[in-house]
Amino acid sequence: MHKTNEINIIVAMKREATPLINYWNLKENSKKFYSNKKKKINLIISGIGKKRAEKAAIYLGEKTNNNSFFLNIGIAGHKNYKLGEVILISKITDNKNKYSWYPTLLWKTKIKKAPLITVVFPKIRYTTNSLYDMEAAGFFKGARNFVGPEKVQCIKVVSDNKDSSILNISSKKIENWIYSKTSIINKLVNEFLKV
Amino acid sequence: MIETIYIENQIRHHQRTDEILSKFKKKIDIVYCDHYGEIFNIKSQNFRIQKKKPSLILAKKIGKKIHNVPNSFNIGGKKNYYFSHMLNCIYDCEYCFLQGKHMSAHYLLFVNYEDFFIEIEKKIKQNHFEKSYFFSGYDCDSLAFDGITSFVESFFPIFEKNKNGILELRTKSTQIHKILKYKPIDNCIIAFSFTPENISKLVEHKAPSVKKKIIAMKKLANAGWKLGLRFDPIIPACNFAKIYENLFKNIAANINEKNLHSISFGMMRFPKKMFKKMNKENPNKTFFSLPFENRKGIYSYNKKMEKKLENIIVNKLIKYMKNTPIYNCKI
Repeated sequence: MHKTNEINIIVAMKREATPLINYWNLKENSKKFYSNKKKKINLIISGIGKKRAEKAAIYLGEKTNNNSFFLNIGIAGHKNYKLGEVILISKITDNKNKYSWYPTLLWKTKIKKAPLITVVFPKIRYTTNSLYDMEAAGFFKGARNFVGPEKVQCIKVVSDNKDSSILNISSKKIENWIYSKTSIINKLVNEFLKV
Repeated sequence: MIETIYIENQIRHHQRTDEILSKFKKKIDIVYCDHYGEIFNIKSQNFRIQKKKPSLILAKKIGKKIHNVPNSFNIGGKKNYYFSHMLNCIYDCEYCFLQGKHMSAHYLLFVNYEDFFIEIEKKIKQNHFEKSYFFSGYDCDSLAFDGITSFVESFFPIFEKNKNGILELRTKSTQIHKILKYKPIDNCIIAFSFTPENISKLVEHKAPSVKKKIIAMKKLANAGWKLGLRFDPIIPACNFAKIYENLFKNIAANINEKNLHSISFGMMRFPKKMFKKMNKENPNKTFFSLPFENRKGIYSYNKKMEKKLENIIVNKLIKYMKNTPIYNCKI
């Protein structure tokens, strides 16, 4: 078995990325592409939407070792979960074609796990018990071209719920939510890299 | 330790699904899916990575449930079948073909046992002039996971009332307490798989020792159960004749031959595709340096070696267990 060499992280927005860039001390290599060669972390800001996330995953997959790990980090909405809560995604469904991806869950973690649905437009009503985002299904489609389900994972931080809609989300809040979870995310990343 | 259970939507309200879930005291994550293949059959999964922490998948078996067994694999019957209520095993034996057979290392359990019962009883009725033999340990170890599956209490009663059906429960497990709750059922054979202790320690990860299996066999024998001995695969090793002789001697010293229904043995054998997959995923395993040759699409030891090993095994078995029928599972 090859040793995992690098972790490729895809985030949609600069505000989501900033706390992670600072935490891992990532340097900007080119526009929207950051890395720390010593820590073997690559991060790309894909922009919003599943197509962009897919493209970004493919870009990193082609650029890096064929045994890399892929991770999508970002915000997502859920009917009941608390704002700022961190969730490891157990199932990702593309709302358009209903195709589902199941990341293999091998990790030692107490983080809550939940399914997620990727939608084209932001969700105002939460009709199921899943999280909602706009990138994960595209990210999985792109990343799974390169590695198996053990090496593609998704972490979401809750940004909206039935009591606080997407209209209340601000850039500052996003940055704070991710910032407050960087150490938990880092622990998980270290778990991922044990594979 | 199972932490995630995938459940097909069609059996999420099945009574056996509820029973199985109730056995998990610790918090588990449940993920629903439309079909188990979405998880189990996905290409590019890494069996070895998943084997570190397999999940459980509960599903409904659709289609044929009972399959024919090749003619040369029998324990005295002419009508031989196998069924697989579960795929994959809690043990991790380096020679096991399961690691080359399935894409995934997750435990896949089909909860619609009743559909298996119907097909089993149908086969028994069809072959009413002769005994039908059913083998349950091809794709899993039926006893090792019994705490979750309740295989014994579900399947044994079917054979208790259908005496023309013979069940072989093949296992490496010593979890025999549920079997011991039953009075011995003449047409249920509890067959234990063995390799010599020094080989077992090296390659049968997480499996009980020879000593523990013999203790379990002894308890079953004392309770009156019919037992089987399975030496499959036979594994060439240093002092081959001596270590296998010691194993046979040890078993014979502890188990009265009158409790033995049958002995069977077989060489390592893998279909080509499976062999290549296992070899690719386990490049450092010593097994694959053994003199395998491709014989009509099946990889096994070369003929000369096979003949030599067969002779040794048969001679030593006869020396210690001369009254028990011996079957050679040949390709």
